[in-house]
Amino acid sequence: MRPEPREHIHPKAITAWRINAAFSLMFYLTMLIVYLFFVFTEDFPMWPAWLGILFVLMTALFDIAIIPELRWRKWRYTVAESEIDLMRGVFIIKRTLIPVNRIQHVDTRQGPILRYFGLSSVTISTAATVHEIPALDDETADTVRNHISKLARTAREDV
Amino acid sequence: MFEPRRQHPVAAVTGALRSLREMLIPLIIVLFVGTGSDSQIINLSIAMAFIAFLFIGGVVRWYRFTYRVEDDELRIEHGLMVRKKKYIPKDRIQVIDVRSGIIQRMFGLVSLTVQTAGDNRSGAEINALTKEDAAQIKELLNGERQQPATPADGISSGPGTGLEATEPQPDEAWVLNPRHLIIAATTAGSFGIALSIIGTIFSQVQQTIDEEEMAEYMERFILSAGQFWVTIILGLVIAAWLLSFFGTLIRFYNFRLTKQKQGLIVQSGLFEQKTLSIPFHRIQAVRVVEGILRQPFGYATVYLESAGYGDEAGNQSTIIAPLIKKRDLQHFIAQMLPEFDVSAGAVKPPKRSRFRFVFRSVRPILLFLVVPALIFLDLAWYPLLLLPFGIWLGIRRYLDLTAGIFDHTVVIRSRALALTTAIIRKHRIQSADLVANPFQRRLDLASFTATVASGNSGHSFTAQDLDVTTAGEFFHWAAPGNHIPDIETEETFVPGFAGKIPGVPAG
Repeated sequence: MRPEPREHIHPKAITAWRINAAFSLMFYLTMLIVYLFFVFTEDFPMWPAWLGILFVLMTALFDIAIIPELRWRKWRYTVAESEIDLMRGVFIIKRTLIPVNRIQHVDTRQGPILRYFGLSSVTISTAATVHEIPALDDETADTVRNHISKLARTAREDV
Repeated sequence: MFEPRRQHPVAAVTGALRSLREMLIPLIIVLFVGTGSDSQIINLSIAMAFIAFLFIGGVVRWYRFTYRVEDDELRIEHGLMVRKKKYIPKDRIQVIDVRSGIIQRMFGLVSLTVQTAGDNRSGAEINALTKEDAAQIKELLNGERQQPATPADGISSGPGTGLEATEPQPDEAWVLNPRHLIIAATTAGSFGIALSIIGTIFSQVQQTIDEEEMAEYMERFILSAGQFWVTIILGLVIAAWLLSFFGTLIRFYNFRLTKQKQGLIVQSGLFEQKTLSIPFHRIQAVRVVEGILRQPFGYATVYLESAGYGDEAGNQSTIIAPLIKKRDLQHFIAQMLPEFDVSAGAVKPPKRSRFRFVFRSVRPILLFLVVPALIFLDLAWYPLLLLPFGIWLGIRRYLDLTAGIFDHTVVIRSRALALTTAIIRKHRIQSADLVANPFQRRLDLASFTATVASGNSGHSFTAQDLDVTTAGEFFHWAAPGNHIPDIETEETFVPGFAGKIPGVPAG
């Protein structure tokens, strides 16, 4: 059996994911409030609102409170000489292996929330698939990107 | 070929006709509805001017379009208003496709298409050029070929013509005989819609159908209780069958696969002769598919996955044998693709995973047929009749799943509805996955997936619910380096389909 990958992604990822989830929660909340407004002014039925409230509470519980921490704990990666190993998933655990000589290009990208925390995600593309390491601090992300692209260049072959 | 060349002047006409076809509707509107002017003469003259303009445009476009091969690049310059330059390096080219349509054949011309990996727009097409020019371009772009330029063109106007350069031995060509062509046409499309309805619902592996289509099919299926709908569906099935029958006939007429030094050449077509050359070094995987109608008669279809090429139908694989007897398969693969002729020590999913296979097959029936039918149609119990079929399919899938490793090749055989055997070389694997959901973990199971490049994207092959240690060995093997998997194989089987040979030691 192949040993599991070793490196953790940056712990601030947890907070970043929480904030992300909070933003979508705010969106759901707005919808809920608009609907409640109609319940009280236009006699719309109340039960969809209860469902909505339940949904919002569940989202808050799982997406904000529980999942980010678990997801972080499960996320591992290793960049080795000839392959990249990824492991992630809270319920469905998925391991992925990308041979370095199959890599077409590597990018780093950064959304507004990740930027605030000084984090970047690294995207690895092959001719068939795209993979992402979600949250590394900028410096590590750059190192990883440069490292992979250097490895990929030396191992370059056909598709 | 260093000096820029123009296409044959006929390209000006075909180009104009093409834009005429695109502008046909506005033109008809001008002619019959009018431009607001009452005078028919004005309308007519506007239309004439319009057509004249298109033809002038065609001529200018033809004049501006030049191609040449220089510095190992195919260089095309074109553009009516904006001048564009398209330079495609030899190394980027995946497939060079030469074909001749009806107009081209009238003038003894061909069109040449160059496909590159990734984006469709990065390819190029030269619409009308002489066979000699096409052959020369192919020669110059076809990589490591050492011999001096000989007219090794791929177009066959009769058997064997045009392939003199590397005169094929009789056993280096494979031809689809007329009887097999008829059988292929008859069993094509799995009896049209009827089975594709069932097929789409059952096949989880090929999730190519979108939900809307699914809903539409489902609706048809449930409503089929009424006589009216039965008639309609029957009509549709017959129409679909006829369509697929003649479609297959036209597509695979005169099918010929030739092996050359650099790669395989596929030729076929009744009205439009299509020639496709696939260099060996672009081949990513071989896929043998035994359709549900063909399997009982011992027939299979052989596909190639090659990077950067997808045909117009959006299919990302190339058929190299539309219909072949299973007992001829091993010989065929050994001859055409010797590196894919392997025998592997193979593993099967453990007994404890049997229930999962059955459950997976039954679940869509329950979810998409039985439950909605019970809710929306009173007493609609008849979808329950499909349950035994689902159970049978699940058991079949369990029994058919086989995965094996032989040196640098992995073989995954699995069933959606058709039985598919994929032969993948290790260095073609773009990424490998090892997945386990909580239910699988409880039973110490995991699924192994290998993804290869195919067309502009990828094709994944999954061996579901293997023993977790075995799946782990497959996963580890996929990493570069020399990992010999430590698996206890249960039987040896030959993907070339000499059949399963129980009791023979692996390797």
